Amino acid sequence: MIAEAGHFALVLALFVAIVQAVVPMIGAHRGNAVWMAMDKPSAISQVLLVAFAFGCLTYSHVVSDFSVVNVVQNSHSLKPMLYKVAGVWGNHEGSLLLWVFILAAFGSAVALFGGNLPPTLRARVLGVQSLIAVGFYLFMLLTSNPFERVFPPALDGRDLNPLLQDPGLAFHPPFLYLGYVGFSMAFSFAIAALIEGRVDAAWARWVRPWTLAAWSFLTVGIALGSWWAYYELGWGGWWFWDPVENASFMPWLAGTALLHSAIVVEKRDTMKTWTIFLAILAFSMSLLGTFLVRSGVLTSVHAFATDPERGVFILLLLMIVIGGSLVLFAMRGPALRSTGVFKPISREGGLLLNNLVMSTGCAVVLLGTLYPLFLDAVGGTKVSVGPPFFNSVFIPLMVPMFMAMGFGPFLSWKRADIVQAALRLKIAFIVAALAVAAVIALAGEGPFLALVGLGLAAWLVTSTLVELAERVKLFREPLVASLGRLMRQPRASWGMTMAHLGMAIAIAGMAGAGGWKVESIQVMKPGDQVNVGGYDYTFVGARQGQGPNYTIIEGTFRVSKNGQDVVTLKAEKRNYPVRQMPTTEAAIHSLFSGDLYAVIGDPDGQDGGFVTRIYFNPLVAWMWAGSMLMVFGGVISISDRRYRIGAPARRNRKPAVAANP
Amino acid sequence: MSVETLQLWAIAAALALGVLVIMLWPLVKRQVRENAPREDYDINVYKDQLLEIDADLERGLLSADQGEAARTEIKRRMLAAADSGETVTKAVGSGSNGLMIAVLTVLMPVGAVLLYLNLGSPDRPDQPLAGRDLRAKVGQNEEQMKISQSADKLSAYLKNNPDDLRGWTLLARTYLSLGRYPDSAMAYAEAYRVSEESAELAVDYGEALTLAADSEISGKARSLFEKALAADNTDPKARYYLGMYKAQQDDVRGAMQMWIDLATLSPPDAPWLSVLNQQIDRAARDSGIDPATITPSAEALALAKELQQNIQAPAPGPTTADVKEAMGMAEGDRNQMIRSMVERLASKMKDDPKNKDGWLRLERAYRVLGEVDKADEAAVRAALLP
Repeated sequence: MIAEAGHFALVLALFVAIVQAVVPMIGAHRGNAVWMAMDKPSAISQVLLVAFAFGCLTYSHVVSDFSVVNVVQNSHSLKPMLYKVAGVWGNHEGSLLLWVFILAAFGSAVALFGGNLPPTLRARVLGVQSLIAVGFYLFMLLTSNPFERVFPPALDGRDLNPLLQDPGLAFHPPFLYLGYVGFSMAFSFAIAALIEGRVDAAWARWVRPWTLAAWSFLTVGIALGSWWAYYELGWGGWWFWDPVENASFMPWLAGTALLHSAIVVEKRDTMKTWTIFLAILAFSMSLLGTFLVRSGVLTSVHAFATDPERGVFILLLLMIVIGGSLVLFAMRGPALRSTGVFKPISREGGLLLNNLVMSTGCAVVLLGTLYPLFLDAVGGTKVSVGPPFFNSVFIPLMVPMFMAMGFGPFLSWKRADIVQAALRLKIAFIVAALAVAAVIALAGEGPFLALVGLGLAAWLVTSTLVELAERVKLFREPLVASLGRLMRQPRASWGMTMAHLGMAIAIAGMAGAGGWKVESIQVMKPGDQVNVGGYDYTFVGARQGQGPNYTIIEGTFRVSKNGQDVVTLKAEKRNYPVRQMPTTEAAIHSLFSGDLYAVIGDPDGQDGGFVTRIYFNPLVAWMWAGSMLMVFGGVISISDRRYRIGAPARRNRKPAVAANP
Repeated sequence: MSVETLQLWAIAAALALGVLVIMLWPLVKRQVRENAPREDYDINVYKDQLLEIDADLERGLLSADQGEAARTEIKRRMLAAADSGETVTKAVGSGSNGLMIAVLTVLMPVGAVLLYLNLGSPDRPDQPLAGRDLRAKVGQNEEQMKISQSADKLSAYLKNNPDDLRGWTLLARTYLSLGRYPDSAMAYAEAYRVSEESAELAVDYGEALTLAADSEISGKARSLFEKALAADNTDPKARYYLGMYKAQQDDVRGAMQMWIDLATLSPPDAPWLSVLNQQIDRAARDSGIDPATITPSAEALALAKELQQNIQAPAPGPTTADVKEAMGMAEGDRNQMIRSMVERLASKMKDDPKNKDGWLRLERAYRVLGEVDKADEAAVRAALLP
């Protein structure tokens, strides 16, 4: 009864969404305030219904109702409770339910907190948003229904993919989806603006908090994903240019460009077509990501569904959304007039460069991801585009970007003096050069790109701090006055400072882990010792044991440096008999200078030897620390007071009076 | 209509009603305040931008003439916004609100119910695991329930005695007969480990894995079947499942070859022949391959010949015919006798449940009678005794 009630709620939500997609839109077109006002109650009804449906599916998973196909396929009576709950969205149908739930949640957030939006704009935004929702409800109900039943019920479930039975799973997809779906908001604003035919500074300010929110969530999602890959896949790697990772990276690139481009619209009333285009691009990339992951085009851990019917449906949805919005863009875009003018060397110019590089980067990743699929589809050979391609194309593209990123905040609007800016930044040049020299002295030579990366990180940190110092007139005024200025900085500029610093720290982490990773694979018997990255690892031994739904081999390593004990690492290898899959649980100890990372493999030989893999990953934790700082910057920025301007006063009048003037 | 179905429709009605109340509110109220003109919203933002310029000037982020230029720009935007007065919203709707209310009140719930009836199963109750066990307990399936409980006890015992090969094998078999395939696969995994990967267990382990995965043959199961086949190249189960593996890999011809070989090797009265032939027919139908075009492989023919010779070779001692005759003569009497003996033993065991040997004897007796369930239960009870 619960499962069926959830099913009904989902069907009802479809009909509410249809109403929301049609009535407020017509209302906005005809100037009918009552019809426009339908947007808010519809959006709220939608989120309540989907939340109810989601709760019902969760209930079915928690009580192991094996008459629900989704539960049979992805759960098992023995599974720990956390994964029974996380398993709700750890599969194709459930994750789509999460998708529409988040979509509806964003819609209701606009309905509740969008009081400062002009009613026509809000009605159109929510109408467009709901149109997307209709597509996804239909997709779920017709091809991927989470509430499908089976009779007689199965005796037990088929368990969740063991790789996904991990705390990381509980949080990675929801954040990723919050990001993906969050860009639907920017998209809806862009489409609504195209329909209205006006994109102005006010619009840019209204759309910005939603874009910031989506971007922050997506950053968390990607960081969690790479962290999960780092400790669960057991190869010490954190980014593989896997198509599924690229699928989340492309909207991030487009979204980052969008964030910056919207600043120009807000401040200078120009670069409007760019901004609209980036909003469409960011959401299209999110949809493409969903398509790539969900259609089973790619075979990977993430491809829960390998069903052509679904693939065709998503592809169709994708074509309608992307194609339709681009057609509208082509029709209405040229009519958007810009009032602001600027010289190439200016803040606007810098942000334009950012747009260009980010969209080129997005195109490169798109090419590298789709090219093999395309070639395969037209009957060509199977090729694999791997890290070498991305490393040699994407990274060099980013190098000048990060250089410019240091300059950007020093350029003034309209026209700027780059020589002047360079002079103010001479300290940053010096620090960067010193950093590279210090690294060579300390770590010996490393790969060229990694050295460049560390140099860029040092450059970016220094230039960001110099910018902050100039802003508060450090050393040019008494310290107290500077401190006062520091406290009075608007939150948005704090956001920028933190996000740029976070980026710099993350770059340092990537360069360090990419350039100086030490790796050692060997067979160890108890008592054996191996030195990796200056640390001595003694293999104490391994024991076998039993987990709730898996068996384990647990290996213990004692790590010491110069005879001093550092830490004891316990690495596990788990074997899930039902799915017949082993997983590794790497033992990781994070230090400031890098991560100690040990993995236990299969027994080797008769005398208690085990295959072990030991890594030293320098600076790798910086990457996630930097990402979190970026997210923090985004959150601070959202809280800036300028996004909370109230609505204009409205006059209270009986509608009948106005209807008969 | 069951209680659960009634409850479902009550919930559905409540949901639909709630949604209608929320959604129709603005239409019914009809008293929506007139919206402020569009430009007021824009101008609010621009006013704030002007304040921002002041703040930036105060912070010294803008020079005086930069600030002035920015101000001019924003004021120009304000003028432009005020000029575009075309977007004043009419406060209300026309008289079509009543129609809208009617349409929504009818269309949304009716549409939802119709689509739901098409997709859902309203008369099917939930089947939470806990509730199902309860029902099984009171139902007629008491026997199975008992076995299941004994098996769980045995499983708990084995957690502390993980090297008991007989225990694991028994547990795995019991779970398999109960249809608890994943549990069975886990138990077989242990048995297989304790037995140091005996080829005899490999086939059963593989079968349990396959059943647990809804007949999908994993790489692990496949290697188990291959191992079993390498140890005994006439093993019917291994051949059958390896054929299935080939079919799942889209090598239907290979699969049919495997099965036809198996049919060649099987004695004419083998119990699996009918299933096997059905499988071959089905594969032939689905793929359009005529089974007549596939001849048994040379290896299978050679093996079959070898088997034939073994059977035809005169066996030492009583011939098979002799045994059959003797058995046929005494069949009825013998069963009668065993049955009464077993009943006596079973009632004795009720009074003396700690007698391990007794349970083992009872198990053997039940097996002879073909009462597998009772035999398994006796075996489980025996295994639980020290």
